[in-house]
Amino acid sequence: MAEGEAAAAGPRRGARLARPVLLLCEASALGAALALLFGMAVVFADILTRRLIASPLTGVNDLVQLAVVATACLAFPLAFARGSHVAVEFVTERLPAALRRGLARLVAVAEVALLSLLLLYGWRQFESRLAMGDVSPTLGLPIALYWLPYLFGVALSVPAALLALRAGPADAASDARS
Amino acid sequence: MIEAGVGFALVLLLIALRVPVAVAMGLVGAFGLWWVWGPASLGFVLGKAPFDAIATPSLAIVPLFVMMGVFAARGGLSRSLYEAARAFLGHRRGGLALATVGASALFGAICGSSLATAATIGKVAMPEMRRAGYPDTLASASVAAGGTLGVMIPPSVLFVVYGLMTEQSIGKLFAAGLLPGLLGMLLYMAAVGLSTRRGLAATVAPRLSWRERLATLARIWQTVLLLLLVLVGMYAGLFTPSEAAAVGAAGALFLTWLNGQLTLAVLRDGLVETVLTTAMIFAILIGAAIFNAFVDATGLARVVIDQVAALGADPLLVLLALALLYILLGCLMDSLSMILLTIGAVFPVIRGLGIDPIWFGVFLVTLAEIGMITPPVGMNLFVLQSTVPGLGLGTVSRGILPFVAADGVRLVILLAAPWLATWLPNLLFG
Repeated sequence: MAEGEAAAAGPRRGARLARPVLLLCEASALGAALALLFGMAVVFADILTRRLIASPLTGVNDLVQLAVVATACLAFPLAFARGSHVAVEFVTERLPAALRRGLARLVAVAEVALLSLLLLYGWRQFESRLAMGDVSPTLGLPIALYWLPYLFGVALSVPAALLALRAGPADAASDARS
Repeated sequence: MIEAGVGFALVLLLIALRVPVAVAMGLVGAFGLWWVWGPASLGFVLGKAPFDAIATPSLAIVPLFVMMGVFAARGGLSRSLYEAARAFLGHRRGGLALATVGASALFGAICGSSLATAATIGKVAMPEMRRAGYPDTLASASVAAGGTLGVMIPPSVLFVVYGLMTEQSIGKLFAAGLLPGLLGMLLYMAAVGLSTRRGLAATVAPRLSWRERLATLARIWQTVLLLLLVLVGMYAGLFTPSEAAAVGAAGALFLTWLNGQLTLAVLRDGLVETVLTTAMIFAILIGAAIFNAFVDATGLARVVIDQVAALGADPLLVLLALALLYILLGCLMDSLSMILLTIGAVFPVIRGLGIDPIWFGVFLVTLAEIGMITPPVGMNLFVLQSTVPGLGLGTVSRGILPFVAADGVRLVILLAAPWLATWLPNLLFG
């Protein structure tokens, strides 16, 4: 294969891989939005039952905790794919483009390193909690319900962070829509 | 102690190299824990601390207040607030800039984010001020500074995070921020006055009749109702802060629908914007949990407390030193990260000195506000620069100085009259 063809095939293959990952990230973020609406509905139901029948909704804290974890963690992958993080650019924006690209790669490596550590040790902690038979305090919901959105969000954030590096935040998002 | 110092320096270095704040804190914290405690403890902390940091029901308040602000902006509430403020203040010298500050304070009462307030009011106010011939320096500075009122006037995401990290009542913190927030608004208006006296003379609009002014008030009744429902509900004991946030979010969604703005696309985009902002905040919470575990492991807070006690340092001097530290940090990083990075080490010192933690929360958020408008990394300046066409960072930065000075005056007043922050929470909560 000629050098030019190889270079063209690389981005095409990358784009083919990018699309399903980005679609998954967007689906995950919509799941986060649904979790948020669920949490809001639970809080409302609690207010209503307290006011109307003078009795709080049983297990409201368990359900809201679940909604909070799912809302944040399921949105992590799209945040990584779009580079929606608080970062400071006033030093790097003055650097030459080649150096900026190199730094961007280092940032992606740093992100992947941290996410991998969180995933590895998070999984071990999850296994240990599972082995102990942990459940939520009031409703007795399986602890897996709380840990799986966290582990899924962190795991999917790894390819999402790499994707942002491959295409740049804006391109990554447009890949997903195309 | 030395390890903690190196850790703080490394975090700042990584942030300067554009590593996201959450990742910088998390990585340095993880490496520091490994260095201080060894791999076994590192595994335990990395497995447990990040999940525990976000799996808290009380954190529901964050996405719900973010959602309230997002839909208040998308529902067109900002425009009617600006028009009402303009009707009352537009005929004065620099009146549109005064109206911008006033509308920002009102919008801050339904939106807990400084960036969202600056971006939302900026979209409405900047074109108006440009059309009226206001110089970009004054126009953009009034928007950027006005935006900071969003985090002082309740509800405020910064107060929520500070309250959760330090186990203080969020209701009390919200009440504590109200009077300093209103004082901030008045001082920013004085800064507008100062700017227009210095030669940035701005067009004076014709004075509207009282009938016309009241007509604009009639158009903001929905917003005022939502605001009252949230704040009065919370302070009258009808709702907890989390419930008030849920009511506010649902109310903002309802008003967006009532104003005919709620399409499926607006709903989807608004919800996605909300969860992305939430993910960003929670990622920083995770990074801070790991970094603070490292700072705890080094025993930094204990050493600082002992040193301060040994020196017999006056609490005022400590506060002034902290103010200097936070203003410097504010020049380098955003307010939320700044608070989360330092609170683990600073808060024990504050408690050790017997300083009221509610008052300190207001003091800290005021410092964070200064950071948001201090060049080169004032986040509000960046937001405006990126949302307003043809606006340079230098232009925004030049106009901001009188507003930074106004914040300085507010800090001095807070130090001289601490009751400004403690009177209302004591009255409402005892």
